[in-house]
Amino acid sequence: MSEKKKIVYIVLIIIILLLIAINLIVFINNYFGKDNTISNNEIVNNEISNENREVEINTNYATVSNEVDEENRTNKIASLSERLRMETYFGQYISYIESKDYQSAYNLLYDGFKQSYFPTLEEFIAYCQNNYPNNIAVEYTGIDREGTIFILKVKLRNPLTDSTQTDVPEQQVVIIENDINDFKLSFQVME
Amino acid sequence: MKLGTKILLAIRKFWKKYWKIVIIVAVIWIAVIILNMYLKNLPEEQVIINTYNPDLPVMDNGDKIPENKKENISNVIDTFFNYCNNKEYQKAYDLLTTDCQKYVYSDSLNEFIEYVDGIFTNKKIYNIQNYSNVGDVYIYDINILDDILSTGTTGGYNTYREKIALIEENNVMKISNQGYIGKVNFSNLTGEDQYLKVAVLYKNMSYDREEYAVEITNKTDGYLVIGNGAVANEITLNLGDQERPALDLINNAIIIEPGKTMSYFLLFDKYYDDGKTPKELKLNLIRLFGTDKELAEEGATENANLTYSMNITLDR
Repeated sequence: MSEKKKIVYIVLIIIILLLIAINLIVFINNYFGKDNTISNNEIVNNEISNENREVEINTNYATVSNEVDEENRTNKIASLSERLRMETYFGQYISYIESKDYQSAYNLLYDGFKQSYFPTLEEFIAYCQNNYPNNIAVEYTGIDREGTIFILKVKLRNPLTDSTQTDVPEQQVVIIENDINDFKLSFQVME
Repeated sequence: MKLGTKILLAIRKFWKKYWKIVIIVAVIWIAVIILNMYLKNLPEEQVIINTYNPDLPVMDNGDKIPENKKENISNVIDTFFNYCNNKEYQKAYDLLTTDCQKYVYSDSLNEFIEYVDGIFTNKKIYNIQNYSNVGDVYIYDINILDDILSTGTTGGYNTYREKIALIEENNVMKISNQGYIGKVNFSNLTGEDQYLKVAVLYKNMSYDREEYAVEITNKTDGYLVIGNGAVANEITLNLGDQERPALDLINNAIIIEPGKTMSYFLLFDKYYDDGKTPKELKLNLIRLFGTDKELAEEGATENANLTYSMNITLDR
């Protein structure tokens, strides 16, 4: 084989390898590095910075917006830590209450809880109207777990009338997650 | 010759010479692109972040439950719990190990019923966490609590936690509860001299205690005092690198009348999963008295006719 031919072959091999490398990079970027993926470190950092924070919750403020399509939303929720997932679920519940979509909120309640405290939707609506402010700001004050069950501790305020210093009672919300974005909850009923 | 013609000729010459290689490169490139497209369109497997792993021991990550036993263990715990929750006492009792039935409940179903009724005062739920594993003994923490999903924690809620051990008995997985683990019988484990004979019969183990059953014979004509709590470390359990004193000797003094044989239980602090093997049972201050009962019951070392010690090897 002549020297010239050898050079041509080497150049072609380099071109092939470059093409494969470029394709691999494109593939890795597409498959593993989705823009909306949150790394574990980010989640941990988020959790640390979110300790005792006050979160305004309405349809725009929920951890994962309802505007995002369902599949995207499920992907996002799956990538969240347990704490953020529970807060997201409760945010979804509160957003239903705020938007007066009581049926959707009612559907999120655990069956045994509904039977004990709100056998009918009307009773639930009455409770919501008497106990939840029109606009709701949620302060997450803690979280416990009992196996697969989570107990969120929250304070609910009306951001228009209550300051962050306003003393409001802490409430407990119990959440069980059956699958991603498939959950049921119950809450401490205020007497 | 024009430049365009020259380029055209050069391309033609190149193509004639290398057309095979060019096609191979093109085919490979297209194949890689198609593969990329295929992989990109594959549905992404969603793995949810979950930090709860009930079968991962919290104390020792090296000693894990065999995969083929995990399901059996969780089934037995779940069945036992449901029987208790539904007050199916006999069925729940039958899932206990023989030693547990005997030692914890004195072979009495009524005692077990008392235990169940004391905890399962209303509908309960539970969660478990593997704590540690020693050989074929799998120790779990079980947390029994009010059904908070149904109450939303309205009115508060009670929790009760205890350690349970999962042990195979005749190839059937059984439960030993209330922290009790099991019993070990000893044969010919004795210490003897001209004054007394000590036979160590068996020991009962709970998660944080070991209780030795001993039979002591006074071979003398006077009183024998082995332990009355008057002095520290009268009886100890040698664990190799440390010694543990017998507990509560003040209330369970070992004073033996002349010629009598008595049974005693010696209790020691010892965690089942601490990796330590008891080496010796040490009677560090045996006191021989005369026939004066009062003097013997005072147990003062200075009044004894003779004091000495005896060690009984346990890990023969």
